[in-house]
Amino acid sequence: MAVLGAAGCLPVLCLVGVRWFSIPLCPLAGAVVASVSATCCLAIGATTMTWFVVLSAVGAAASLAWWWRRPDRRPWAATDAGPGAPGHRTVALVAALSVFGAVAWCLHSLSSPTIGFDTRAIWLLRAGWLLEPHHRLVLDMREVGKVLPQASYPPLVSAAGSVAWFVTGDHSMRLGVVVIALLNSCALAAAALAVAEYGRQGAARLWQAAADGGTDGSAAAAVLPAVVGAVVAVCLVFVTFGVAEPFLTNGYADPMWSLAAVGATAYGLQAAGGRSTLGAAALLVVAAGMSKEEGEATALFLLVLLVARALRSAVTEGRRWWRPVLAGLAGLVLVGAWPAAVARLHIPPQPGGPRQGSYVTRARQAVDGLAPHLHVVLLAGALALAGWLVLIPVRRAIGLGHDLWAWAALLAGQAVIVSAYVTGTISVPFWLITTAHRVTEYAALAAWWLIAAWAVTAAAAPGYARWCWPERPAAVVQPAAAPDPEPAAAMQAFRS
Amino acid sequence: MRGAHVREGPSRPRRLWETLRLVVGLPVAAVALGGLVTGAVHGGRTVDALLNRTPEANARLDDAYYDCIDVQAHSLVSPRQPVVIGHANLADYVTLMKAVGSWVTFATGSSRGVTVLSLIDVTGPGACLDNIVVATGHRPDGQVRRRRGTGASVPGRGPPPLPPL
Repeated sequence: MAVLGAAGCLPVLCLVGVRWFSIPLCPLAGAVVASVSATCCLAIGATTMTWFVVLSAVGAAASLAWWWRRPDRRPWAATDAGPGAPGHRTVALVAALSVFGAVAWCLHSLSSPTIGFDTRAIWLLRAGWLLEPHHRLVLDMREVGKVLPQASYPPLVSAAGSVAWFVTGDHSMRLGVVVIALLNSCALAAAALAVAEYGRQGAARLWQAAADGGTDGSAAAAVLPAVVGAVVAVCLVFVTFGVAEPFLTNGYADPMWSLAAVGATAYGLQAAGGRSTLGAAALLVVAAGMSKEEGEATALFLLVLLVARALRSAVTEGRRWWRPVLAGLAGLVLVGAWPAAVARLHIPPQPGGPRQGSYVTRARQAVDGLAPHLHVVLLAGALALAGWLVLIPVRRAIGLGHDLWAWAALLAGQAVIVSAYVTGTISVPFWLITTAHRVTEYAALAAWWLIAAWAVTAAAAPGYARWCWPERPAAVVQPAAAPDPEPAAAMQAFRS
Repeated sequence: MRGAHVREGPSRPRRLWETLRLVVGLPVAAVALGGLVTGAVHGGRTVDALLNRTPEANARLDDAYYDCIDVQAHSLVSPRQPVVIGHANLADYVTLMKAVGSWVTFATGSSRGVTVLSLIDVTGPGACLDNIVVATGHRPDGQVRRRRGTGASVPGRGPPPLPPL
């Protein structure tokens, strides 16, 4: 993990800056580097570890060159975290420590040496192959792919295990499972901290509104969204362990793509735009796309949504429109490189054969089988309806994006899953028995994150009512252009 | 008096709207937080349940079984030796693949110089839950040579309990 973290550290600081959520993103970025290395090994030659060393060095050099060219983007320069409400730093610190503590507590389930079926049969099986040179890797994937079609799955989880095996010299399944569980936990911590960030940003905006209105801000009302955001972030950690059950700690890749996609949605489609949140979203969407086939397809939809939202902001604010498009294309190349290499090398894809049942029958079976795992979506939908009726202005005031963005991401992800069942060839009831629980993780977790966003929004309602449309008696007040110097000076001092 | 203009308080519809916002906001917050706390409690219990004796014992048996097959396979072939994993029985193929697939060198086809690894059912000592790894190859004189894996055993009847899929 230290090696993965070191490989990803500088690129994360460059993309995201010094933020609490940068900490769990570092090992994830290292895993992305390992995944790109595996892709290069498969597509070009040499070994995954050679590419890993080269790409890590290139990433570090590019980060240093960027900081040399743009001093304002150096880690020690001011971030775009913006001003905060009273005590926002303390709340952010407590939120981060609580999330990390909750994740650590939940990880004590690793003391049970569970190793999942697919972990042995797919994910860590290929970790050994990725230690081989190019020609052996291609041979292994072709030969074994004739019988085990999952051999062509995206490489992030396997590549991370491969790096751990290479660095430690311990080629045990147990080590691989621990590394995958830690990476899953990093994705979870990053996604959970997005909600704490909603609260922090919301509190900051309310405080700013109070300052702009020249009113005396109540620290308690301003900081309430931040506190609720912190509490909700910790709850989400436990909720995720409840949703994923053993798959978070037994080496499966499903939690990785699901949590990375949820994190990308949370930062890129819900949080207020900014370099840090967009950087986090970019990293997480690529991680989701490199983790599993469902993640690949979902990541493509997410990329479209992320680019659309960023493009909308760029056009509205008069910024350069081609930047989000270029970033989206870069993400597309990263996510699409592995499947392109697999197709070019004629590595066997999913097995063909006669389809059992018509499309309509299969669709009905899939929906019936998946629905029992998605009750939480109904709760999220009910809250969204109530929220849309009266809380949308609050949501806008605290800087959260409209949750239709997140709903679009959720529905796209679930449509990918259902379409796989419908167009596949395996008997749907049998397929559902072995997969329904895992493939609904993304939609279920996305729904929980939507609920969390509404909790933070509702917590901001009192502050919004107080400051954004303050109720005052008809009275002569000072002109807006010439505020009372005393509170304004105090506010300026606080912000500085 | 320094003021230059007069700001009116909010109109009656707006006040009603703001009241409605608070009235709806509170239940939304309560339901969302209640749901999250309930989900979190369920999650905490799930983590505890994973550490129950039965899942843990099953996991240890599963681990021991695959370690046993791994050790037996190591006693038969080296990592650089080209092998084919026999797939006459899909279940045995998958079991062997899970145990040794990450380190063996797969041959590009079944020829005389290639060792075929497979599992046989044997009851008694020296078996991994009633399975033994067998390597089938050819001697230089062309005769078939069959060797059994050694070095580890797990008593009991197999297969191990299936881990969650």
